[in-house]
Amino acid sequence: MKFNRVLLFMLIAILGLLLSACGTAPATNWPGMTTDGANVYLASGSHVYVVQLSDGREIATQTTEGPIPLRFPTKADASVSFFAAPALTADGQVIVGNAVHSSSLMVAKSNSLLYSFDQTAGNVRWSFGEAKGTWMASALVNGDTIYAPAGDGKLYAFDLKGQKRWESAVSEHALWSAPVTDGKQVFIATLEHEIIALDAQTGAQKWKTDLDNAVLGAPAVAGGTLYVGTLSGNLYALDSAGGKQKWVAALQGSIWGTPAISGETLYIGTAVAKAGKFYAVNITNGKPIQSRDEASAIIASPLVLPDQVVYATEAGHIQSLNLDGTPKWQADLEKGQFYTAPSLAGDLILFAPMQSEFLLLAYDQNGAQKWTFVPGK
Amino acid sequence: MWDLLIVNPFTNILLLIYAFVGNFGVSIILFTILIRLVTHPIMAQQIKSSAAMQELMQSDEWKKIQEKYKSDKEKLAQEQMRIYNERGVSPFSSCLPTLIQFPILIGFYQSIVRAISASPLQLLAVVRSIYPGLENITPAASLSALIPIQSKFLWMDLGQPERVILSILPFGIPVLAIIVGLTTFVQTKLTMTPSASPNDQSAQMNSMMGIYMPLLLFYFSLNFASGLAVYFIASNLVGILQYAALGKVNWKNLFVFGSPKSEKPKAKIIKR
Repeated sequence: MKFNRVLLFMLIAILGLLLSACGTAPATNWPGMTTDGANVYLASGSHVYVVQLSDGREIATQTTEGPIPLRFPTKADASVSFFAAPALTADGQVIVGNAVHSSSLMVAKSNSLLYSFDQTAGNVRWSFGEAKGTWMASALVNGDTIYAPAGDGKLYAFDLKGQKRWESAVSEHALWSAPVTDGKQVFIATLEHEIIALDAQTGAQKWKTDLDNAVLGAPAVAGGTLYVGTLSGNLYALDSAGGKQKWVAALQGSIWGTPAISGETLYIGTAVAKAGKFYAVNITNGKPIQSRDEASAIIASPLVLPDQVVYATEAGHIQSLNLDGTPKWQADLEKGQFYTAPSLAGDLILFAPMQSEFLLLAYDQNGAQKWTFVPGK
Repeated sequence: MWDLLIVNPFTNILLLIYAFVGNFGVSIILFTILIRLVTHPIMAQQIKSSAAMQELMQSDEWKKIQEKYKSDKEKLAQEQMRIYNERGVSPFSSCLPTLIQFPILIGFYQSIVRAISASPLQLLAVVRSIYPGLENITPAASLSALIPIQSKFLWMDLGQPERVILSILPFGIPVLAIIVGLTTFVQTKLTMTPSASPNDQSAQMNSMMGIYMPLLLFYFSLNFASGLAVYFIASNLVGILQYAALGKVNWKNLFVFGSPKSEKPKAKIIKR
């Protein structure tokens, strides 16, 4: 009888384990990174890491027990993840929101928090917990204002002390793309197929334009025009003053990233099922100039440099092209996937893969790998 | 392979229902009913097999061999197999349908979590799992019409664990998880097979199931996406209706502590 009880309990426990293992509630997403010229701030898993650009090592901070890596938070909490690229302020703050998986009975009124922590000491300067849902997208810092897109569909504006200046409900769904600004207006894309322009000072809605599908990537702003792609693969140019459509280009596949601009050319990758396509598009009329097929989807935004454009595919392939479209250099990860946009930091091009042994990879602009980052214990 | 055979078809059916009704909570409930209807023959077979096993275990012949060979396990097993064969009863036939339902439960949960897409990475998986022909059935099932999935249902976000927040309390009340626990308890009690003696193995197993399952499902509902809790509640209620339709619900069980006793007179045990 005792054996039967144990057996029954074990069967139920196995069922529990199976259910838990096969897709539990925690949201997972790709890492985010930001650089300040000296360090890279990488939001990945349970931490925000601060890594030196010079050698790919973590910045250390002194404690009574000796030097320890400067990480936020200091101790990992398995129920908390960081996905959004941290935003940096001029006065040394790192702004980043988290995603909380835990749901204990004593759950507070909001699980997830937007934090400001000190760039050099790592201590929390302030936090904001009024918004429900996970902080999936990066905040934007413009002067003394922080614009933070939240999981409750609201865009919040704070001063540098964390005091809320305004909030604007822009979507019934969580905001997944970072806001951008032209100085006067803040633009935010939504999953509800919209681009919304808000007054940067007051948060009042200036205009709203409906697109054909959800927008995952932040718009690119240049010369009074917003360039933004949708999941249907349509790339739009919208007048930033009123949201009027200037042109639309129907590309093959779905667009997940932000277009990169170099002179008169826009660059964007698409996902065509599991394959990918990389486009160069004329910025004035939306006509594709060139396209290049890839074996794997391009989810991450490309990076434009003065002499090249770099993109990374889901399967771990890095491709650099000269601005005329000819290949410049390439590299491949043995194991890992790229969803995060590459970032330029000084002379280095940084990549943050998923499912890889490395959290960061640094290449020079000729494709030579300079260092990799694996967090120590 | 698991995705191809189970999760992707479930996700597409769920999204197709969503395309027609426009409410993800209602879609979960309708899909639960659909799954219950499809698996109804399996469940009916399980009930039939359980009843046959129960009848067999209450028979004089069964009790006789239990007593006779209580110190010879090998002989007892042989005799049990003989009786199974003679009466055409398989001891596994009542377990098998339950085992078949496990992958359905897991696959359905995965499809709920996938369809709700709590992050861009999860949305990527949804976009890739939508069948190209889905929008031919109805334009509302096109990618642009489906995304974003409206995950709000009544007071809850189906992609998040549910809590009701009251300003007077420092914690949230897991209303849905409590309802899951209660409905699971009620379903287990109502559908429990009566046993001849509260001390026999099946009675004790039933009794334990009546405690463990509500607690387990309460725990799941507490921690996982509330879409799963909606599924559990719908599944429990439909399950009770199915048992009722088969005439197997005993409402008196609700007021009986422990495992309900069989109304049959106790068989005499012949001692030698």
